[in-house]
Amino acid sequence: MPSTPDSSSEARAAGRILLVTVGSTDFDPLVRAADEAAPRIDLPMEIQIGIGRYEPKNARWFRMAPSLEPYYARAEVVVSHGGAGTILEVLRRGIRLVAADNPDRPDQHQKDMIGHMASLGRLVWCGDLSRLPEAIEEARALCPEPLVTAPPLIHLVVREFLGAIENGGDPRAVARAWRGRRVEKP
Amino acid sequence: MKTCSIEGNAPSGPGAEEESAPAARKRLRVLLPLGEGGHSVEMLRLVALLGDRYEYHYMIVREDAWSEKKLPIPGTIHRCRRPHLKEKHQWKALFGYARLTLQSLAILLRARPHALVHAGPAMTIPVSILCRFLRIPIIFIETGSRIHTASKTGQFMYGRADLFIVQWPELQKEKFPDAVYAGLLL
Repeated sequence: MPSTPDSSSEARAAGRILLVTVGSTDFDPLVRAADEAAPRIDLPMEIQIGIGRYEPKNARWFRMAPSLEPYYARAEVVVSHGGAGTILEVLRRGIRLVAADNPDRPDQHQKDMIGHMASLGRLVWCGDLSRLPEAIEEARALCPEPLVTAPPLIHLVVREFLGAIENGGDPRAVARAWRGRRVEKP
Repeated sequence: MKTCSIEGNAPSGPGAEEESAPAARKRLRVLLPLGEGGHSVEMLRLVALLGDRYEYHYMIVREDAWSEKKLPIPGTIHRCRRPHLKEKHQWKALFGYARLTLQSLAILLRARPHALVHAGPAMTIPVSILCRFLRIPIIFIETGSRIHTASKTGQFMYGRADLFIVQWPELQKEKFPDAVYAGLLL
């Protein structure tokens, strides 16, 4: 169970890993920092490097996988890039998370999600990659509950809007009626 | 700000009874620029939720090989070139956007969509401007990584999209009071 704190030897016995993931693009500084930290961390590390150029020397690595699910299933800790999709995916599974924002991404939007989740104590924000080992240690002390997010109901609003077009009605009138509303129940 | 359930005002909601003969009715054509990364994930989730009652036209940048493989419902694929905002020379970015605008126009003429639905990023702006001119209704969904800060595309689309949807109540409260909040798609 990811939510019960266990010692590293138990983690090893259970085949637990530390998963590093950079998503579909590249984030070489994170891969390099993780690779350099690997010998000092008592958890086997596996790194998904995407289209990056740097190939790790101290850890097992792969470029892409059809699904990270089998890796998540074994992950004691995940170190991820700041992509919102990955962060939500990991937190919903209740896995301990270190997130590093990629300063190369446009307008540094990754800080919004990372900052929000860090302020709720749901992840450890590693803003300085030289402090990655400390951030990982910090994350191992977290006891996360799986994150529960609002169910998507956007399609219901979209369907009503498109329905107005289908029926020869006025979709803009539908949109006006929805303005400023919060939809929380289907 | 009102909290409400959809039931009361959704005559054309999910599984509406009159939709028993979809073949008889001409299907609505919906154009979906997928963006990349998280933007694409959101659009594909939306398509999966909307179901197969619409005719989908996907606009995908040439560099993106991933999105096409993940389409939950098949449709016509229209390729375009992604401009780079971070080009060293501004004229290159300008050229990129001029080319994308022409490609977007060609796609609109081929697909003849009844509606445009997208979640950003900036590559969706030319096609949105063209749809405004052509009076094609636009639905914009601010990407789920935005909780407290607005994206540039979101700022541009606010007031220009006919239906503006956000994925976090915080964002509706702090940045886009006229938006609809309807759960998290990401």
